Amino acid sequence: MYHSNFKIMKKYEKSILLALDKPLPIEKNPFLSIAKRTGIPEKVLLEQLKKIKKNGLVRKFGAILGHRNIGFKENVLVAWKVQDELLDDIAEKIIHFKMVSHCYARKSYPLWPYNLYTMIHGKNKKECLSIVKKISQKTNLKQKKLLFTKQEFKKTKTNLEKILK
Amino acid sequence: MLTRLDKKILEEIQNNFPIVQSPWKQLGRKLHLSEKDLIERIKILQTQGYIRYIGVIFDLNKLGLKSTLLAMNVPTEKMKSVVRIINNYPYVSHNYLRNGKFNVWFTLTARSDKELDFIINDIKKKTSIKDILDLRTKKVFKINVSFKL
Repeated sequence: MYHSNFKIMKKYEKSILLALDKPLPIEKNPFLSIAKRTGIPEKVLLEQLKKIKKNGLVRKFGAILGHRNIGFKENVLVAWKVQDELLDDIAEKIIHFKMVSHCYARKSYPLWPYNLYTMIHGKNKKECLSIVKKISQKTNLKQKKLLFTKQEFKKTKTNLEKILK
Repeated sequence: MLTRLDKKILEEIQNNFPIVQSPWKQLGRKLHLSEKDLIERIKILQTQGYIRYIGVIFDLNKLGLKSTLLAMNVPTEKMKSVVRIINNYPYVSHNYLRNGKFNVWFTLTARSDKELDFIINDIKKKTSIKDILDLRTKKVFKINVSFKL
């Protein structure tokens, strides 16, 4: 798969991508069963997957664990207000925290001036708050919003088949 | 409760999943388990909720897709119907109730910024909620959903 952008992807490249964008069957030869389902040879699937893992189009191949079940019961989304010119430097400091799984710069507004978002995981609320405190100390960021999850309405993997159709 | 072996299994499939014809056989060798026993164990760990997904995760950014996070101010009495409308879009992958004035937070992914605009307008129309922040993604610094066991 030479093109990573879907807009310039050939039809067969897209079909390989969509074939791989499903849970891997928990069977002896999972790629063989994808091959049977899609008509794309097992060998091609394996070769292409290796290639797109290497070029970064595949961010990860493996398991996503249920973080609540493995002990990380609490998480908090923290929205920080950062001076625009400091964004890169501050983010660089934050991403080294192991318990930060996501760190994004986002658009802000006068009534909502927060432009950097971090998802922080912990065994409990106390642990989450202590990580938030450590980040505040390390970055000197004062203004922030702590957004705890009260209820999960939807949590799925992005549905590429529907988005790219 | 997870046994020591379970933890080893989870660490391996999270961090070192091989791209080969028979991945369970190869993983089993490393973990001193037969292919059959490992597959059985994986199925149990999945049913118990320790494993959420096994497979490929694409870098949506690199693929050329656009995404945003939306924060909505939804009155309690409209919550149920609004959540139903939002969750119905295949473009929505995550949706949470959070504390604060903006209480409904969800992520949208689509083919272009224009398409995102279109979907957001559609959501505004369908829910009749105008108080919504479009926190468009400007830069991704980190995504690493990998946990130490």
